[in-house]
Amino acid sequence: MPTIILDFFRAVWRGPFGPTGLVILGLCVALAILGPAIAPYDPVARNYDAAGKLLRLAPPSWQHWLGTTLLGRDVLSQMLVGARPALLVGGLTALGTVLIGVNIGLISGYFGGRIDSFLMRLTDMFLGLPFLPFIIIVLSLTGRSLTTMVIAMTLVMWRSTARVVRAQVLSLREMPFVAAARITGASDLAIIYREIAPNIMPIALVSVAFALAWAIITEASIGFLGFGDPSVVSWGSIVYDAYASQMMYRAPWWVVPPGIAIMVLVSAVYFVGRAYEQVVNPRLRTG
Amino acid sequence: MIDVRDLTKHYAAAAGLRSLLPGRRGAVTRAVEGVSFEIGAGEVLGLVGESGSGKSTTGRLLVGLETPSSGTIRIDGSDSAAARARDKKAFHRQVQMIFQDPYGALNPQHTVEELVGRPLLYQGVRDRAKVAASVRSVLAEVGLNPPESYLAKHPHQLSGGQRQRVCIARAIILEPRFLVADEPVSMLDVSIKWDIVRLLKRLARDRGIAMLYITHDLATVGAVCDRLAIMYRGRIVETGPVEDVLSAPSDTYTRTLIAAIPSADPDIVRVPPPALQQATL
Amino acid sequence: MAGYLLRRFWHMVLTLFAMATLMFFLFRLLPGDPTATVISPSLYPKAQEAMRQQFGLDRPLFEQYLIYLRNLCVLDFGISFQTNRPVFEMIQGRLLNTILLILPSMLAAYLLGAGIGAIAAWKRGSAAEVSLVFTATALQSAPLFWLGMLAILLFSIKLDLFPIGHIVTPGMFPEQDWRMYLSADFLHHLALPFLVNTLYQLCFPLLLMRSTMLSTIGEDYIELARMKGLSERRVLFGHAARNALLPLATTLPMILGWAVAGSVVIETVFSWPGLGLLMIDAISRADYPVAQAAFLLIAVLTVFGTFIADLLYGLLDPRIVYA
Repeated sequence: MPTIILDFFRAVWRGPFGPTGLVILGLCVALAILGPAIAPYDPVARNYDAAGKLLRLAPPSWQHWLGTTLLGRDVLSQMLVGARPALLVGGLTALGTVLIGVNIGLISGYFGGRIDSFLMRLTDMFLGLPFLPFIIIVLSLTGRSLTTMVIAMTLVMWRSTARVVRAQVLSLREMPFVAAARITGASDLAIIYREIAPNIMPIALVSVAFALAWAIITEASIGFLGFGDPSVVSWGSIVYDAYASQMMYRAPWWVVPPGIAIMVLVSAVYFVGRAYEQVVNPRLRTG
Repeated sequence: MIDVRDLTKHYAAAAGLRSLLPGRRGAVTRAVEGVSFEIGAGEVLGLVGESGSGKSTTGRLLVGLETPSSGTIRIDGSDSAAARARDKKAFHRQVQMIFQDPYGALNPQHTVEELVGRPLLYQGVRDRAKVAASVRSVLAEVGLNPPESYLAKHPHQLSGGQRQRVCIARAIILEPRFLVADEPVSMLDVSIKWDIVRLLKRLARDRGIAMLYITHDLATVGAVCDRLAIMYRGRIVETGPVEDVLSAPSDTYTRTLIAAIPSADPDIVRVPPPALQQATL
Repeated sequence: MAGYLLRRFWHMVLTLFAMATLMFFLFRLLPGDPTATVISPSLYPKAQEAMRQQFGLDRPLFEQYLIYLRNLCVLDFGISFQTNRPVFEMIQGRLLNTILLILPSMLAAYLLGAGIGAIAAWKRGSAAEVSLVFTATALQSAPLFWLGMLAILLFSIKLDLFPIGHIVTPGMFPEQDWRMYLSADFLHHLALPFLVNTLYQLCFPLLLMRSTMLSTIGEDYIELARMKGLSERRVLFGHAARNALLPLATTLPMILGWAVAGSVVIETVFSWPGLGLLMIDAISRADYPVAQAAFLLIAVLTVFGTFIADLLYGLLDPRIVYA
């Protein structure tokens, strides 16, 4: 396991995009941990000027670098605090996606036959599920919380990982090393998890990256549509507040930063994912 | 020790377009057709034939990777199908296999220590110190010396010959009574071939292992085998001590095979008979 | 081939059936009165009772389920809580609006994406190509709703080139008049969401086209064409591009399905009266029958997209065997 992590960094570190992405990703993780501690103001507190007047839609100034919202809240503080839900929801969803997707792909590909056709039929059904509408319906029916969001997003996302992993397992299970394990008395489970699984880890890592990118955008979109956790300030919810206030077009400092933050974070994830894919996917190696 | 009687394996014909033609329904491929032989402890039987002759299938049947359509395999007098059904792990301790492709037979993600120690783990041995000691001793036995310098290596860091030695170490760590070597040197350089062949011979003799040495290449059989069985289209067409078969073949197919042995001396160019120029060996 | 088609069609029906079932139980699992998602709580008690009988809500769950399925088959989605009109009436026009927004935009995105991607592969290694790949990745990483808002800020508010939202100027046409689709006003409203969606969606085909073409460069037939003395340009556009188009084309219907699912976002930003916006509005007003019907229609579009994708894949790629 540690060798895979090491190989991952070694692979990504080549080329210009990988290291850039890794550095940005590292900064975002640091922000997610430290954000609330270094935020200059309480992100939901109203701020007043010297005369005691509410700072409604104040443009950027030395006191408020990114200006304030309609309710006089500090945009920079909201931005700093909003990194955590983005990465938390993204990370947990990516993790859940890979856990389910990898296991279903492994079992489906290894056993084949009826188990395979049942699991693949199931995967196809989930493939037809419209992701955003489904998540929104689940959230609106069961209550808006980060946990529900992670579960709903995982439910619609594991399908692509499962397909990719299964295709890989189909060719791996014919390898002589699988037969070699079988004739030493290894059980099916041992073969799946000790022999085959280590070989699909690189592909699984690539799909973690793409799942992460996708989950961060989706989390923001859900926030923007107003279905995010009402008690959490996220980059998506900042845009939603601006949009719902109808004032967004008068206060670009309120709308522009969260979008840029999401764009930079997701680009970083894509850069890392593609750099790694370039190395582990033999089909792309020439490109 | 190993007693094989009327071993037969039929496959349902591959479901291609031709299977849709009238009269093709239910067609079978007869991979192995009534094969019988026996191998004693410490003895090496060479199973020789061209590709598609059923020799590899025979090997896979013996180690339990395939199930025979009919026939019996007895190891030390007990029926292997019954033994496998009774105790799968115990059965697999007795029979092991070395594969043709040492590149594919080693899991690329594992280190040599893991690769060689895994069989013990799968057999339920939990004592780490014991596993580590066994791994070191078999590595030394197959000529990977000193063993410590190989333990942490991954397959891609080894040469072809070293890989095949790791495969052999993995096969003997369970101390099997019977070993199938499926074309173990066909993918190796000529320079390494003979070392591996001699290693196999020595292991069979020293450990008293009954060995089935599968090959399409008659050049190496003299160095390792005690007896030969020539296989053609799923049947054994000739069997006997190596010298007898090589010097006085009774079967016409065996004769063409022998004619195709490349001469050790590059100056002597042997022209194969026309019938053999098309044969793929 | 016919057997394969039939089986894929059967799978599609099965998937839709599963989704309808999922929706049925999801809406019944709500805490509180399970009938609250079917009958408007604002109706008179007498009217509620009448509806309860009409939908069989006083009967066991399984019977309710059968009634629900039968109603779906005849496109009876119930009565809207909000308008008290049949849901089907509200939904018809919305479906067309969504398709008109998404389909032309996706086709344009794929045509442009393939073309620009091929040029990027041709100019590989140049500064222009690197910055193009960088820009496309960044655009793809931006949230679509945010791009839409920026476009409105710039083109509608600062430059006053396009209307801020809606499908036509409100009040210009009677509701759901087909003539509005032929008006210049409609095209004027369509332009900005079309441009934003196209720009966003063309990143994926662009990057895919580029990487597929680059990966074919080492292959034998490309080498052969090169050895025959064809120019770099002829080799790339005549051979590599043609072979890269195939895998690209097969992704279109599936991505189209996803774009329909994602239309919720762009319709919300531009107040475009499509299925997605209808669903969001219905949910925020607790108008469950409408929300459910809108979801099912979006699901039909998505599943149909995947179905067409599979068929195309089979038609275009001769290596696929219909076994």
